[in-house]
Amino acid sequence: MNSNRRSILSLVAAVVLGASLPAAAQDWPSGPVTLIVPWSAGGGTDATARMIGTLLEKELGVPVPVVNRTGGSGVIGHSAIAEAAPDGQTIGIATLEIGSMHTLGLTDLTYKAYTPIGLYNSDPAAIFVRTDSGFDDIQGLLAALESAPDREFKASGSAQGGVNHLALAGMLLAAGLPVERVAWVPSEGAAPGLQDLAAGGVKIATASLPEAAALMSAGLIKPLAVFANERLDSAPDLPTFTEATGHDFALGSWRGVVAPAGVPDDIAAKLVEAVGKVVHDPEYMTFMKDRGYATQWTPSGEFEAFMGSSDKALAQSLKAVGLAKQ
Amino acid sequence: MKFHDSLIGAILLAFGFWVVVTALGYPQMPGQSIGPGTFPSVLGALFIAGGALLTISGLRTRGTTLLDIDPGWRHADRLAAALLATVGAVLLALVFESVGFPLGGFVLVTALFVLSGYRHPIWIGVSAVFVLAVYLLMTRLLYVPLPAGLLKGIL
Amino acid sequence: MVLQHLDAALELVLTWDMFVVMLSCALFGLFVGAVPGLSATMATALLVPLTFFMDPVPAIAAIVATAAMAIFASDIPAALIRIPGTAASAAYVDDLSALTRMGKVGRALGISVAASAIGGVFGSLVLMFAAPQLALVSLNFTSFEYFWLALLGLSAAVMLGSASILKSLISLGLGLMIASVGMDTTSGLPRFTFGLPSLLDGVAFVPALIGMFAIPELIRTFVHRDTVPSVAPIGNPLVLFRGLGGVLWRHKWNLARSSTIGTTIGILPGAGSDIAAWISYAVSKKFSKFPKTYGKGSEEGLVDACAANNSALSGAYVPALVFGIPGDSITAIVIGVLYIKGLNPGPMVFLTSGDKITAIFLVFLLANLLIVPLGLLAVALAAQVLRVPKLVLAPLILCFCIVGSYSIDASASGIVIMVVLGVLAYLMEENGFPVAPTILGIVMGLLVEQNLVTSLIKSDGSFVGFVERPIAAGLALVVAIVWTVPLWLWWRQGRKRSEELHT
Repeated sequence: MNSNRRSILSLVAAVVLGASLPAAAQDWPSGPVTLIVPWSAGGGTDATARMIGTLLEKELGVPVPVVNRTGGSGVIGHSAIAEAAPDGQTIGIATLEIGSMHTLGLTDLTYKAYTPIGLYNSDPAAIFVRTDSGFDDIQGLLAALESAPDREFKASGSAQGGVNHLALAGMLLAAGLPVERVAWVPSEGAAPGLQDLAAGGVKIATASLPEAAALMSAGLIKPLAVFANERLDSAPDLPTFTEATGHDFALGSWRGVVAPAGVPDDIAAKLVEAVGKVVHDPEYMTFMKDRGYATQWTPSGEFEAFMGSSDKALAQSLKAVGLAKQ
Repeated sequence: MKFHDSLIGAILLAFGFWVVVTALGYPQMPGQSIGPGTFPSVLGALFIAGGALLTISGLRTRGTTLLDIDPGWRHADRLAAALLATVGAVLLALVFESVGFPLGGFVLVTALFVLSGYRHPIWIGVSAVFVLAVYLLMTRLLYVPLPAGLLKGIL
Repeated sequence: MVLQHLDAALELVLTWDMFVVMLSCALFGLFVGAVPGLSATMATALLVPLTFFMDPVPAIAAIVATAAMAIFASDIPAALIRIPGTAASAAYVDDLSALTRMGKVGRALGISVAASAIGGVFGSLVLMFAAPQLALVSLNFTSFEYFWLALLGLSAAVMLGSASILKSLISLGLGLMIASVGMDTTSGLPRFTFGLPSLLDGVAFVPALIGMFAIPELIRTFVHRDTVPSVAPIGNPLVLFRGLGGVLWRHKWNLARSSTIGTTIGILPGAGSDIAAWISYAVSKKFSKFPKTYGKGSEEGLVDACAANNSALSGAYVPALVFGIPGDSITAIVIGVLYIKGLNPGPMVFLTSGDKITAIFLVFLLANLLIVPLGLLAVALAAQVLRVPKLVLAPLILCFCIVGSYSIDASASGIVIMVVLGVLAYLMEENGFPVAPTILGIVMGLLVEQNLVTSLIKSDGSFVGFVERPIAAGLALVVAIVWTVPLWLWWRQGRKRSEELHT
């Protein structure tokens, strides 16, 4: 009851304060800071971005609207961040795909188009089938794939050349199967891909575990293996692909906050500090842990170096699966 | 501004061909048989078929003029008002950031009032108050960053 | 599950504080929605920062009340100056503005208020009693089903117009064509952008919507001054709504039918209130005794479309709450707030936080009931705008159009899009091409293409896959009927005519 009353007071206060903010604020941030997400609402990147946006709002004292700029296999959203005015009023989430898109020939954009703020999460991909699919473990699925004709099995979970596509292709290669064996159905993100799996539109989906949590707890889909080097704390019963099959393969997505290149150093420093505070906030920690997202904080310069090495590794694996632009 | 159906049909036909040619020039996606050109070429085919049907049915109904203009367009002031509301708005868009909404909007609204026959000085006031009210509402209450342009520093 | 938590839920909802939160947010939504060019999504997004100071139930209440009210309120400019606020209201904007011209603005918006509220309440009740079960149904939809459903929505737009089917079809094609401008969503290739970077993101929808409806009206006001019919004067605001009850009672079965259609379509995450409103409007016309009045001020069509629109909005929360799958941007925002408040969407939340979920359902119900008194008040006030001569209003409307097109992503290219498409719409309407199918094409182009491409990949280019699944086959059959029946009737009529000529 009491907190309800508080909520009304704060509502009134926020409206009054909010109305006078743009006029009063001299320095950065001068008005709302837009947070661009290159993937669809409801996926893992969106969920974590919305959490960060909300806490950043508290930290900065200005609204931080989250804008989903989906499509173009991530090109549209990633370009929108890079092309925004470098004044710190627009930031965004860059994901692993920033390293694969240019190798696929979708864009010229690379990680160099950004001012790195910080890497906050990386999660391994896992492979899912429907609960009623008849597959109990990854070995069974691989055996079925071995004898199936090309393209009989369809899989989804990300855009063409997205992280989950690479996870599937990499798994096939590691198991000694041709990449064409499974047809990839591009989706706008993990959420629509997993829904298509649950609806029976595809037979396999790859995504990270937290993204599949709701459909898993509904008993509609189940994971067979996770592409990590060791078992996850959040799913101790799920075997890694390597231990279950003996084939060596691991891949995961990562997510970091970036700003357009050319943001003044002092504003970039303020951003690093603000986002750094947010990702150590207990509320954020609980949220990430509850949903099974891994947490980490690799700020500015180190983040840039990380993006550089991720870029090289992706170029190699894309060449291996034959998706790299010639 | 009524054009003859056969003329519209011919334009659509040409447009359809252009769409199909452009769409067929788009590259395929690696590893997929479908590409970004698939859907537009279907649309292009629709325009070609629709344009052809429209041309044929238009040619059957002869006797009407190729272009029928509403008499309203012959009044210079009305033509000017319509041009200002369309071309003028585009010109305003081109200089929107530098001139700004408060000044640009005020000039546009006032000019339209004058062209519509509202020439009493009071309409200049109406236009100024309206544009300023919209500007303050958007920027102060709804966080829409309408550019102040030349009036920056005053508002 | 609802009833056992009802007591606890009522305790959470029926407090003065909740009342104040909902009322103030509803007024805010009413205000933003009634400004032409400002959207419900914008109103909702503006509210999110305030919600983290609140408890979960008031936080959701604030968002739901704002969204419901803003979506209704966007019908007000639709009726008064023919600027629809959403793609759904583009289905019935011509009926609204025709009724306004006949001097029945109160009746028109009164129907909109009441039918919206009834549809919304129906959708909320369905949500309360059957959300988990219905969500499972929604998971039977793959790209094949969505493709047919989208095609059905588009066919409705072509078939229901009063214009010729050929011209409606071309209008629809233009809309789909406009939607394909920009970076292709599956391959990332820029299409039909003429090298303009501002077109890479495609043609923004809100400027297109504003331009295509408002600009032709403005040009006609300026140029065709002598032939534009003048609006009938309005009298006492209190008599605006006379006869409203009778209209609703006469169309009670329409209300039931459209609420059902709306909720059913709303439950599907890949389809929303726009498809719901258009399909239910088409169904209404098909079964109406007066199909000729549709688009020219049909009260019946208005009842159907408004009820379907708002029931679909409630339905969209079914997959959102049960699987965390958002149907539109507003439900995405609500999901975000739920996560932050620790009410993670999923089947478990119905068991672990039953009282709070039930309270949220009650909030949906209240928000839709709140539309009636506030909506009627707003209509009575806003209708006074009609006292201002049209020629005075026109420059001011242009001003709103410019601001609305700019504000969607703070870019002046929105203004250019608005004007260019507006001039195109004027030329189209002058030549008998209806604008509404173009708008629907712009909204659904992406959905149609994506589901078509995805389905073709899945079926390896064969058509068989499109009709293999039972629901897909059923929808395909409906689409086939929608197309063949009018053509067959037309052919039979033609034969009858020629027989009469020969005898």
